[in-house]
Amino acid sequence: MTACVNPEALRQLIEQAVPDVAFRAFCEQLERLAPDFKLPAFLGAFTATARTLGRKPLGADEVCLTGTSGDLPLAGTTTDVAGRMLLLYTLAQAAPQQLPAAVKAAYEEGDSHEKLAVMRALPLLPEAERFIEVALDIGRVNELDLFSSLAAQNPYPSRHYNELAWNKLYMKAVFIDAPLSQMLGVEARNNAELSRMALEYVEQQESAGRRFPNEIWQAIAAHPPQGAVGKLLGYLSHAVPDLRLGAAAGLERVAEARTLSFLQERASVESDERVRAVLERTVHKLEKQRS
Amino acid sequence: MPHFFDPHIHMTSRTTDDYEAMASAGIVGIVEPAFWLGQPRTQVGSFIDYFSSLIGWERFRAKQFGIAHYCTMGLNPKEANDPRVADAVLELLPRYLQKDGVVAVGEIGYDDITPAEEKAFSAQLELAKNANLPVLIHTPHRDKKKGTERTIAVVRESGVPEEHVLIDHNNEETLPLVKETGCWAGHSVYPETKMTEARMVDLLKRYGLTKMVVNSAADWGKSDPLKVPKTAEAMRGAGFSAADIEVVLFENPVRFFEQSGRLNRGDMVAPKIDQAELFEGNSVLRGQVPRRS
Repeated sequence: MTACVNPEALRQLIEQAVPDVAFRAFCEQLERLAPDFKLPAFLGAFTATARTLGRKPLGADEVCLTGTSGDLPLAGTTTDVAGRMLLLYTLAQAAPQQLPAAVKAAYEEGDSHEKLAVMRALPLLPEAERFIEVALDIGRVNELDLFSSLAAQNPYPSRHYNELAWNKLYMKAVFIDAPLSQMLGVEARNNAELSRMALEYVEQQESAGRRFPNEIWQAIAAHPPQGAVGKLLGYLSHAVPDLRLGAAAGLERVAEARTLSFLQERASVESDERVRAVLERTVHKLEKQRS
Repeated sequence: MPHFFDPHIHMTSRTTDDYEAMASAGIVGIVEPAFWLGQPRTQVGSFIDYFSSLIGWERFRAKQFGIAHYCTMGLNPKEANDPRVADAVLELLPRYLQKDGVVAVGEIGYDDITPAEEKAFSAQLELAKNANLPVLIHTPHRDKKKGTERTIAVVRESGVPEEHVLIDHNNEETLPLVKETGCWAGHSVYPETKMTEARMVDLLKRYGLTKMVVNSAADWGKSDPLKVPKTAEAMRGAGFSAADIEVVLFENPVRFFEQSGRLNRGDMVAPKIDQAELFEGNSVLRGQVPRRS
């Protein structure tokens, strides 16, 4: 990924991604809103942006924006979302007194695509913490794209959520199968309570005979509750290689000396190359620690 | 397999099983017109949530079965008579008419043929002109012929182009009136009331296929969400060709709503289905294994 750029760059990225006529129509729409950005006109333009710019890839997968809440990657962004982000960002600069009402209405009266664009714009806005209620609301939805617009590749939650809100978001992501590996700030936000919740979730899924995501072991291993290491060792001999891989990665994270002999034994019989590589790496690390 | 478009069906009041059956029967796209909820709404907030569900949850639910879901927005004639909500809903509409997938203003028109209904009807024809959207018009169950005559008069007075108007729920009495105009003619095929498949086939034989549209208008009442494919069966039995069936039960309604500029035929070709998707706290799955294609 290249260095992050000012959100103003959205304008140029949109220009490169859409036909000239569409870009001109969008700019005219934006100019008509200035200077006062009256709310009904703004909301109309916000909705119309999908028709003006279409819903095509922005083509800026390597670019990230410098937001007030952290860096925001543009990977996967579509032109409608980029246009709506730019509208909110421009309003925030030109008519900041209108911003709270604009965010609230664009979200509450928006369809799923509009709501998604609000989530992507949040980390770019000044004093973004005041919009936390809107973010928390998206944390309650189960539409995967919409939920992921906040939970994945978005610095907002890790920057502004308290521990309880973060833990709930993480567990909801686990529950609806959102991409955990794309949550930003996970390392910094791991905590003992989350490790406990995550382990209990694994146990609950085991009882029901249901699966759980491999990445959850990382949250558990950050502050392993009692019984977690034993469970991880147990999964090392599971018949499914992917489950062994998740457990091996968890044990690498735990890096406890007492696991060394088990890991050595498993590494000697492991048939899956990926799993064996993680086990050997961990063994090496633990042996080094001991010596 | 033939494919169908049901241009008037109230999926809010149908079960997920219906979506599954509709998809199996070849329905690839639907229009869900905004209407009442079986009992009066007492505040505008109920409309906001209802309109939001038409562009949110219902669209999502349909997509999980590979059905493209479009909707119309409007203040229905029954509740146009209710001063608790009527004016506030009319104020709300311009914003919701702008939403993606909103392909017409509707269903509007007359129910009891009152002055309040006429006021809301005219106001919404203006909204349609401003938003450059087609109009879906409900015709009354009682005093139907007079209601249809007045409907046509109001449409003409409004200046909305007639080809932008679909007058719905026609029968043998009202269809000749509509056929004298440039409006499209809708027919709701019902198990008992309104129109049957056999009568529908007779009307098609008599009046031809041009601007003729058939729907199930299924809601909570005794109705059948498969009436469009069942009409196809009746047409086949009466000697209509596969091409004729395609015209009436897919091309005509799609062409009418395409005038909105917001209906994308691509949404109805080999749609992507992922039942593992969830929407705002709800999955349509209750323990079964999700279907992916």
